[in-house]
Amino acid sequence: MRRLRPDAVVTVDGRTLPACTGQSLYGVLIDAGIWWHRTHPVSGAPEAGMCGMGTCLACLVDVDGRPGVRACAVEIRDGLRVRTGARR
Amino acid sequence: MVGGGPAGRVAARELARLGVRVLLLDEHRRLGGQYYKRRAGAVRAQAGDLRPRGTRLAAEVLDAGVDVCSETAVWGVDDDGRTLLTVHLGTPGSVRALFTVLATGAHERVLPVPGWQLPGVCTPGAALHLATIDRVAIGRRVVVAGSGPFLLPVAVALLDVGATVAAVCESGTPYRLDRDALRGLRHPARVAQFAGYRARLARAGVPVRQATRVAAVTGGDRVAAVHLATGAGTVQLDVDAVALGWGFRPNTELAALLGCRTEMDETTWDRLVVADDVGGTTREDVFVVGEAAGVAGVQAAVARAAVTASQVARRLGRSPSPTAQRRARVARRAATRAAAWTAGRFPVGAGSWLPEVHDDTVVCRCEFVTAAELRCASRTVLACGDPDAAKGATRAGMGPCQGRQCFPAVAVLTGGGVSAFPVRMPVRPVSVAAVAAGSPIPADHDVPAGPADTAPSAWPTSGGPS
Amino acid sequence: MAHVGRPVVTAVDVVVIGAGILGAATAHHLSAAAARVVVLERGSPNREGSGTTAGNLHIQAVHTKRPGQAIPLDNVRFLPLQAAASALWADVEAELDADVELRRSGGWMLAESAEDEAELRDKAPHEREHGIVTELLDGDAARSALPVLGRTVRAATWCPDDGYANPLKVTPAYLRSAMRLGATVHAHTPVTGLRRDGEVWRVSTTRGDWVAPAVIVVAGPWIRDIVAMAGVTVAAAPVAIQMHVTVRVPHVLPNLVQHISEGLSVKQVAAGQILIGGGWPAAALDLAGRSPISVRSMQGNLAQATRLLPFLGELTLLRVWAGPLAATPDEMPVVGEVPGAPGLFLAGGTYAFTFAPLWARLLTEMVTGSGLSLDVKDLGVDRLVEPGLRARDG
Repeated sequence: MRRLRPDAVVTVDGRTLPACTGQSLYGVLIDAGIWWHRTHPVSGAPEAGMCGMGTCLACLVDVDGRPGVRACAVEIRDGLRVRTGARR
Repeated sequence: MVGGGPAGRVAARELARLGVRVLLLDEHRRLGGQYYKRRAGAVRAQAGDLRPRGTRLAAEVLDAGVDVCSETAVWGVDDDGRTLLTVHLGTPGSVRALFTVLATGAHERVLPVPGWQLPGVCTPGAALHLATIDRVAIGRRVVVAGSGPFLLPVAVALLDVGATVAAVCESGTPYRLDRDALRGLRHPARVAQFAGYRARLARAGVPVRQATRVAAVTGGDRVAAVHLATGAGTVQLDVDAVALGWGFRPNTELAALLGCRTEMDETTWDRLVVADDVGGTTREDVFVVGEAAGVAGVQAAVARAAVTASQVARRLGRSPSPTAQRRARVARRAATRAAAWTAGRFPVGAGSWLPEVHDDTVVCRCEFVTAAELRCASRTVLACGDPDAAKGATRAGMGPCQGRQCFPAVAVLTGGGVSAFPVRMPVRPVSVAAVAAGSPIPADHDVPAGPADTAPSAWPTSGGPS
Repeated sequence: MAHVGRPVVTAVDVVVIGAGILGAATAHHLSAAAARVVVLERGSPNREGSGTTAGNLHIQAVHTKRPGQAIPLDNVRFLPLQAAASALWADVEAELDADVELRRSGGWMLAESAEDEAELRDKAPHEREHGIVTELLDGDAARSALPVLGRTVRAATWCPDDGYANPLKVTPAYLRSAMRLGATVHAHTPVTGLRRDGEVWRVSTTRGDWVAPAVIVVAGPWIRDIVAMAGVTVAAAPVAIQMHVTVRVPHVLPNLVQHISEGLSVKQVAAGQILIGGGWPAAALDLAGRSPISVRSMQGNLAQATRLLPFLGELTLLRVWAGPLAATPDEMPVVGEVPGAPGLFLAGGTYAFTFAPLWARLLTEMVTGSGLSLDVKDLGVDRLVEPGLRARDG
């Protein structure tokens, strides 16, 4: 398999991840094994985006300080700062 | 034209080529829709263009003179029942046209199984896009399950990004050689496509299990195993991700908001637009094309869109040549037949096991409502046989997805035919500020005349990108 | 509807028509008073005005006109009713042994102009007279108490008793309690006939007939249609109003927020969503299905809400819906016995959610003849009955 050469860096919950400009943030999170996108407001359980196309609205994260952004709809730019809703 | 997928773009291109002024609204940054979703700059530079045909189609749309508004979502319909309300990167706008063609596509049917809410479960479509557009595998060892012809290419795409596919689990038996399968010989392209996928999976040692469904997904904070129900009993596969889906459901909310008659299909619990075979709805000025007009795959979507385009053009006095019309009709017939054969190979409906799904299963993921709660509500006077009342009683369908995912399951579990969840604005996400800043309805004479001719036509009446 | 053979006839003490909050609460009180009660509902319970309302508990004096309302209501006449309802709401959860997300966390009535502020000052002595506690603050003081308030707020009154409850929980809780106490509830049982039958009323439905000495019509926008079956024409002016809700957000708005001269109510419910309403008219009233919403009202209501609570602008709108409001031509509530039709009672009108425990108690008192705990003669049915259209006995 041919992996993409990263040309950008994004910070997710303080962790630096290599990424490729134009990839979806959803993809970059999952590539890094990050499946805890938000904490479910009712159950308190970890939750991840499921549909990747804006229907499920479960991949909402904080991007550059803006809350409630669909990770599946964000294209990677260098320096993007992301905070998931994961509770550690 | 609402939606820039294959059908929307083909219809827009055909109309524009006939001299009709077309405005195409699409919510994504790049035209493509789901099928022809395109890689972004740097990914394309490295990994190549995934769908050159899609890229070509996008260029043809622009060459034909279609005005394209990207990143423009249609979230509602104004009080005149006709003007579309849009939002472009937070800025509100409105659009009114002589004819509105809905190419709003489809979304995946996902049904509740125990554990489907665990991180690591996604739809086949999400897995495919991650693999093809982002070059990311959803997991190291995965299962692709549910039903539909779509599962095979998803499994192949996962192999392409280095995942181990532990199994493809198809709840039906579409690949069994029976008398109906032989009718597939009339659709050689389709059969060849299936054979190609199956050969590729066989080379990689991926079993395609038929008559097999996911009985449960288990794990802690993430998927650890799937439990398969087969004719011969239960099988456990240890995996770290699952792609789970049962085909597609048409996006018809906008059609309903526009007042086009829709009907609830009580097998699938999908809301279907009542339309004739050229995409005409019960509203004279609204047409529907592509998957929104009935899920049938890309070939049928494109072929039907061309026929609808010529119908709309004729209404505007811009008839295509008789030869072109005939060709379009022939293509549509062939594609429709192939799609019907394919669809017939797969089970329809909301999932035969759903009525017996375990009480602990989360049905509404957004509000975390279980099958037990829905069953309990439907046994009381509050919501007996009434899914919309069950929504009020349990909150199922009240969350961010507004029941787009859970409605079929809620309908089955409440035994309901009384009331579907009503379609309400906004049908796409929009901020309170963008709605509050909305512009007044433009009177007809306020519609700016186009640059070339003065005939009223599609044109953004306010907001939106220029 | 044609029956094969004779319809099944059931005798009870009281037939309640309508399973919204009024029907449910009345059935609860009557059952607690040992009456045999049947509740008949045309659809599923709590699906119309009671299930689509915001669920506000309006205790301080309200503004007098919702958007599009021609005649102002008499908000001073409301005060003793609000005071009585406030006391009853305090006991609802204990009485029903249920969590209905009752929140008495107080509310603000906002003023933006000098006239608005004068109105806030005017209402204070009337509120005091009825024991309703309010406090007038200037804009800055209000903003320091509730930092999310916008700059245009010039003054505000604070009422610690304002609040809300979840309408999706209140009616079911009342119904469950009524059923525990012996009431019977029939959903999907539309009433097709209502007539005097000797000493009793006969209520016909698609699923049999009921006879009872007392019938209570609490059918919201259908009150006129039901009462007309008994040969009485009451004037009713049902409209549909709409509500807006955002996605869930962290808790930032602990209080109910209203405006003294405009239709506005904003609050954050227990689940975290923010509900924005204020009685703005829907596009139409559709009693056969769900009423269509008005984009104009949505824009007006949300623009106003965003002006007063600017943080709302950034939130994603989740849904807009509309439901019926059983208004009367004089915009005042109605509760009482139908003139010339002994044993036939009705109740309804604006602010029915706030007043529900009160109307339920008064209806129970009227039916059981135990003497009224509050004088509501001026809110009786008389004023809505058109001359010459009164029922003939028998």
